Amino acid sequence: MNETSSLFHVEEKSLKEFKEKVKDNALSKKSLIGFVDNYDDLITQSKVITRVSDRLQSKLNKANEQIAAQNSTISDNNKLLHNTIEQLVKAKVSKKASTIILTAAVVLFVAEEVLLEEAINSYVDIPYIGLIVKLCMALTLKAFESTIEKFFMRREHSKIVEEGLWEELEISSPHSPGLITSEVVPR
Amino acid sequence: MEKIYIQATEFTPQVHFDPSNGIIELRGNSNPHNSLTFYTKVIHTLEDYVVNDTRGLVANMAFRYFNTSSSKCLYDMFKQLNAMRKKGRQVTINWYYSLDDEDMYEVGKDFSDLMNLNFNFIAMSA
Repeated sequence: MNETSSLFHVEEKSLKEFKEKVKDNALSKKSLIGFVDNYDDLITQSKVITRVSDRLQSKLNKANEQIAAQNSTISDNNKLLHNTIEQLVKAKVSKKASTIILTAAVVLFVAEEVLLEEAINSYVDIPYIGLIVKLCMALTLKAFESTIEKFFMRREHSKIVEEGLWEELEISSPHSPGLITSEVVPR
Repeated sequence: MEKIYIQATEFTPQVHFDPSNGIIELRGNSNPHNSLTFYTKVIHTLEDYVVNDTRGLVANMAFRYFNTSSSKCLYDMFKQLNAMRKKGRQVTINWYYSLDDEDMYEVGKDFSDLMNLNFNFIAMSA
């Protein structure tokens, strides 16, 4: 016997008894009144159960709407957080690369001034050759700065991926919010 | 008559039926795997109380959610309470609902209106 039919075992029993009376031609006014009363009760039950189920379905729908709205907010916040982290990492990496390049520039400029300039001047006689060399060094260092930035950026990303932060952000911001239904409740 | 106490779980309500003091209380979620199995003992004890006792009963109901088969079991319980009332015994049904849960209030109203039972509606702060 499944749950639905056993839930109505009293009603089923009454119906069975009435059917037997009909079959045996043993119907009395009392049994007919009893049948009408049972029928009346079944109608009331149907009304109550249908209306109550509709109300509770409406409650579930509202809860689902609330969950969907919360998921959407979480998703938006995660996007914002994602962008903020990206910007922070970029700023951190950029600062690091600038520091390295600036240090290298100072070292190279001093080395050029102290060691190279005299040697260059002894070989070539071009006015402002020291300045031209420094300019070339500065441009080379500037190009190198973006390479360093990209290198550090990759390293920071792999560090974040290792820590699982991106995955956590992506998992906690589902694209399609899950719906609550009475069927999915674990037993 | 035996006193019934069932601890609430995530899917079943707390049930407290104290025939000696004429109190029955159900609170929480009612979404059992088999509602009939869960409610059979309560319904039978209530039937026994209606038939064999002469005192009234106070029923406190505080549900957050219940499934359709539980609503059938509640119907059967309220039918018993209605039978008691028709016998002239004092029956008080307190229907508790959360202030932000209008649906549960309406559910109580539906039971009350369709079964001709007088409910006391008591709002609880969320």
